[in-house]
Amino acid sequence: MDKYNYRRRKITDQIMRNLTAVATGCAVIPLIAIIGYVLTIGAGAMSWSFFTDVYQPPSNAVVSEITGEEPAYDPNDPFAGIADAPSEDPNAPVDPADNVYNAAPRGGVLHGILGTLMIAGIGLLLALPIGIFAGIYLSEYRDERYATIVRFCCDVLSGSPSIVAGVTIYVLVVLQTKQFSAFAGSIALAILMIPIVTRTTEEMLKLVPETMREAARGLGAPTWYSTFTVVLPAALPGIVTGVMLAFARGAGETAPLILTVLGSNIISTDIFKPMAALPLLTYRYTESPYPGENTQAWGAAFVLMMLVLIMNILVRVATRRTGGNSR
Amino acid sequence: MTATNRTIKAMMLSLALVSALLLAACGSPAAPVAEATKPPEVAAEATAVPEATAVPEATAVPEATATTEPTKAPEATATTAVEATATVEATATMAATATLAATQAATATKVAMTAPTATTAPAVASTEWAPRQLTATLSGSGASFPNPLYQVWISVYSKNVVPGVQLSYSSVGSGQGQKDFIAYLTDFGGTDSAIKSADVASKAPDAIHLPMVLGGVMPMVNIAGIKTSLKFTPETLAGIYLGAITNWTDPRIAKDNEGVAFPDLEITPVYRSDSSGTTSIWTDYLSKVSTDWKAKVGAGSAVSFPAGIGASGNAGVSATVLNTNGAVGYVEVGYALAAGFPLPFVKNAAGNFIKPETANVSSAANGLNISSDPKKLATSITNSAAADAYPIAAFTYVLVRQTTYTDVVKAQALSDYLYWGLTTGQGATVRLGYAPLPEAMRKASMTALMTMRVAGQPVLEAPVK
Repeated sequence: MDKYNYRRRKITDQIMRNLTAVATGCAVIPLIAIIGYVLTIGAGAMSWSFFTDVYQPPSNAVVSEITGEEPAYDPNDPFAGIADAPSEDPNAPVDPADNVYNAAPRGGVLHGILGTLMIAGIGLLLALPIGIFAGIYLSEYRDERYATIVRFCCDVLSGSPSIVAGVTIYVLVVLQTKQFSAFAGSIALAILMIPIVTRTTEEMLKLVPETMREAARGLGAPTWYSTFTVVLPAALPGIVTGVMLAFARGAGETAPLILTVLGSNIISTDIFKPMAALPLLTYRYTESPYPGENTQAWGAAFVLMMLVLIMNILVRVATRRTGGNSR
Repeated sequence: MTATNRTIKAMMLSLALVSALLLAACGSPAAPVAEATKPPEVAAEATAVPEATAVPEATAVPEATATTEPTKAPEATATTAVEATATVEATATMAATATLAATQAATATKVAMTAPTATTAPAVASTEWAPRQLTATLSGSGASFPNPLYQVWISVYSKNVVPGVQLSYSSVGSGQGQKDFIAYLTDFGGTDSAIKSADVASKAPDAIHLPMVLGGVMPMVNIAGIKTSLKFTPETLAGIYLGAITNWTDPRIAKDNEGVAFPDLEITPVYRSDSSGTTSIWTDYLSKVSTDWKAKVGAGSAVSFPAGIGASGNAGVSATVLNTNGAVGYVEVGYALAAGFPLPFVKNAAGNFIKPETANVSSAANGLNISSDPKKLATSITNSAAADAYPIAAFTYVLVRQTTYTDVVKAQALSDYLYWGLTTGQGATVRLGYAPLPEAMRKASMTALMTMRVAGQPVLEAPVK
């Protein structure tokens, strides 16, 4: 009886353990597939000019590929560098190399990189003060009724689809100002970032031991002083993680940007004008008839991933140093 | 510990600073709002401005500035004048006319200095035309079909022709392009279908549809093992999309395609699920050739298809067809070419089977009755009567405003660019797989472009040739 029970329990354990292992594997497969796809296909778009050049219309551009430089502008044939002149005979078979659809990808996504950094950066600047202060309120005055309501609203907001934020800002800002603008996009992204920053700040501040607050109070520090000099520094690494999560979320959003920043093919630094962004480029290039641009869509996705990763690593390194000191 | 204190204080300070800055930033967009929304009314009033005041100024000023050579100065006055238009409503019309004069002066001096080949200085009125070297930022959105061409135009124009003009065009689809244009969100729109006549009167009374280029829509077919150009008649196309013809072995299809061994395979029609100019062209054609279609479905940019599956965008339809054995989808010709599909034959009104090649698409617009009203250039050219015309062809249009632009420089820059597109730019069409406009339509489009007015003053005067 005892022995049988033991065997049964052991088999059950084995089965369940294997099942959980398989489930874990299933969860990891999409991640690996995404990274693998983006890496392998996106790598085809990688070149120096991909990072230093802006949008260039796809074409065969034979001359520039051979000589490495753009052909001089000829006013009598303005499109010499863009596409071959058509054949004299309309029935002549088209050389596949002359087919504009077979052109290698040209140009780059510098405008998208700068646009994403600006739009998401300004969005983060908008979201940071609101999010962190709200987080402090929720954590330090957690029992007030108002705090409960705010917390609930925050959770609802963080669960709301990003397109909703986009539509809202489209109606409230874009239609009112009669202008697609990067700033409208930043506001939409800020709406998505605020609940993330608020909730992580709150959770991180809650983790700070109550004894530290009591110690500060014992030394005669007012609440605001103890919050900013004792509690906040202690929770800083965690808060920074939340902020990075918010930035990554914002940088990767496409839906709100379609309705607010419109997109652009040039480097634009005016935040009250349409601007380019990497997720937007990815979306638009995927829709393109040109295989070259489809490849660039993967490239843009790759750059976006790398951008978020690099930002993550940089901030981690920076906060590890200061975080260590303050503890 | 003290060091930490200091860093924390610094952090607090910077936080406070940032939030203060943000508050300031939040306040500022309100100002452009007021400026942007006002002007349409101003311009509406402005049509009645006495022209006498502006004309003598415009002719007199260039001489004066040319001698004193300050190329920057006229521009400076121009921009301040533009701001004046927005703030002081009462004197807005006067300021606008002054701006016009100032910019014309600036252009005249610049042309004289930068273009030695143009021997006559005020080249605008003579036979030689050159775009004015202005500084402006223009944005547009709309149809995806002409996007590759527009991008080439923009690239060449702002790199080599007028470097001061920054143009951007986003291919968001015809429906969205019209919406953005009507809501004054963009400076110009792109669309494959005309704004609904019901909407024109109420929402965009001064919209001009400028035909820019021609394109064709074709059925793209994927049947495993068949790589030849199939032949379609209006009846078979309507039958397939009505759900009346459901198998590739249907005798109605086989009759036109002798020698093609069709497999016993179900037909999957693929249509556009989004609001699209392509759908509008396709359904317009089917409505013309099939009374059944006209009665049951009708024409429009988004209709309810009786059969088949939906896909979003030309790219979506093309991908769905590629992945579905037995599928047929309608796409703009470029997308099928890109996917390596053969061009099909479609039987036209004259009874000939025609491929959607550039020349045949062009023929569809031959012998067209062009309206003399600049606002009524948008016409349907599907099911053309010409013998060599491909029947599912259409113009693609740029939407501009006839009288409600308020920024003179912007309007001048835009009209110059479009004029350039209608002249020099047509040279790029065939190279990129588009059909150039027929001469008569091209001239009508230029004439319509020149009816554009800011504060009652024409913004472009150029030869129609």
